[in-house]
Amino acid sequence: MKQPNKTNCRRSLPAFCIILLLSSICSGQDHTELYCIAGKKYTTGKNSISESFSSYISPPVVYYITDEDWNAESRDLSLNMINTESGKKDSFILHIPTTIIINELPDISLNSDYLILTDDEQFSLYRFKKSGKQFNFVNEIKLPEKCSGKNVKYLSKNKFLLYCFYNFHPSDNTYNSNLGIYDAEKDSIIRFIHPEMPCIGFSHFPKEWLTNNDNTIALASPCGYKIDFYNFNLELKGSINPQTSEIKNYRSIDKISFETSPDFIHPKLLIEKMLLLKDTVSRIEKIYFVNNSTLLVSSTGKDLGNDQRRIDLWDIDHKLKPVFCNAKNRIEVPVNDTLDPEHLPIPINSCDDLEIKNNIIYAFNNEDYISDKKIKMSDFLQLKNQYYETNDPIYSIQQFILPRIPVH
Amino acid sequence: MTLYILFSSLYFLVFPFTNPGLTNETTKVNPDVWKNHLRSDSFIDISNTQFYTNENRLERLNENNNYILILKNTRGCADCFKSINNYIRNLKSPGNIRTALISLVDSTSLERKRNFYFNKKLMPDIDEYLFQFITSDDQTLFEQFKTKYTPEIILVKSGNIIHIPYPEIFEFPSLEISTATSKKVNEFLK
Repeated sequence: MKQPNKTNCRRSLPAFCIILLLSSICSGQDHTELYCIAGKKYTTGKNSISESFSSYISPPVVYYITDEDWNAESRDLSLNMINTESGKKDSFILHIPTTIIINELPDISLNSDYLILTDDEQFSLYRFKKSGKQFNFVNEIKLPEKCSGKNVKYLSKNKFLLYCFYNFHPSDNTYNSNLGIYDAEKDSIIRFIHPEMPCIGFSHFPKEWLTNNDNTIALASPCGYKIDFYNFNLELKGSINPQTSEIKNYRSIDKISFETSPDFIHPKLLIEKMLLLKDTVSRIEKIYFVNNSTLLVSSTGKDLGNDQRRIDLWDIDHKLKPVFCNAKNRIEVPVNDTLDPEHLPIPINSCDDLEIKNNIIYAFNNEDYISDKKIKMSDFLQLKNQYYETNDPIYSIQQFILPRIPVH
Repeated sequence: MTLYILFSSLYFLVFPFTNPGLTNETTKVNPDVWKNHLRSDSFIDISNTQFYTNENRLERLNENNNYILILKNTRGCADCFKSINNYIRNLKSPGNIRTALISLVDSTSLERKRNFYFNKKLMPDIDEYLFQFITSDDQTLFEQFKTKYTPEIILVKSGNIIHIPYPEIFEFPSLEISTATSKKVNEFLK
């Protein structure tokens, strides 16, 4: 029997290693998990058994209101603040006039001078102006006819972004897609547009289709793989609309086999149908600016289930293909795996409110039991269960650090 | 947890509607005479059915009491429960009739506690707030009665059972308690 030539083996070894290395880099792009690291944790000391809260994250500052902060008799609302950089805590008082209906805690958005409050009943917007430790009511904000600005985010220079993407009932003539800029100092709407939002029925499911960084607003389409970029005057600056074969295929399975327009189908029936479809259609579910140049896109997909998402990172100046992609990224730790505080899934589904700035995730949670050591997930769940048998849950804020992905 | 929030928010937010897919079993019953209510549900024995309290203590129904049980899962509408609560508040019931809200929940302590808090706000006039667990090895009332949408009502008297499914409880599209349901409850109270 002929023996293998050892010299030839030695010669071919470096070439084999190079091929192995190259193949691992290629496959690595598809299989590397995008993970994060558990950072600082803050407790608010406020009981979260009711799960009723309102928070506004303006990194590194987190504002929040809980049930305990609303005094229905005096109509005073306490607004709490934690600065996660300095650790400073503070609180402000809003006196709510009787003309504003408060059945549920209102949504808030603010900068250093103005606060916009959205009531939960009519989704009306109200302007408050800061004076010392108080925000005083000034006026109700008048929106253009048939427009909704239920969600509000501060942009810059007293300008607030108003937006609402929702499959309104057919009898409601409000636009399903609303994007506006409001100047709080001048109390004027600068611009209001209604971008095309196909498959708006997906608005009944968890979603984050809008995000902004210091100068750009990104808006994802509810189906297909398309993200439009606007400046702060709501002028379209560009789009991510990839034509790669992979995403083209991804796009073709996004066709929904039934009517989703509220003009033709009752929202309730649509929800019933869409629940069956929820995890079988590839669509962008959430987008976040990770920093001023990188956009994280999380999409649901066929057979991914609740614990996985396709995660793409885009350099917004190079829109042809993502700089990172994992078609099956874990966003939850499976029960049989180990919970490792240094390799955590991105908490895009498990946190109640979340913002990302400069690669730090700021999360507001209605649970405070968090593991800071490696532990099997099943043991963690058991310990958590025991803990909450004797303790009430407390609202907490946690930071997570995302690794910096090299951008070309 | 996420799914629970999703389902609850969806179904608690939207207006309820009758589901034609549900079986309409109680229409077979003569509602006038309680004694004659020996019907298809009567073979279901719930005397050994186990429930959990908010403190996670196991309980069974007290056989000396009669019960109005209200079933609640994550597929329900908040206003429907409020309507039943108002109806129960105005009932002039004999002392041995207890009302209990039975919630089908995840078996974690946090889920049970949160539900307890929410249920007390939703139906403040109920005597007992009990739980059954989705992951339970034992058959739950929800499985026994093939409950899809809630609320549903179960009347338990001297071991006999009347099950009033969701489509029958209200005078849809209004959320007033239906005449048929009122009749059954009034007979039950006699």
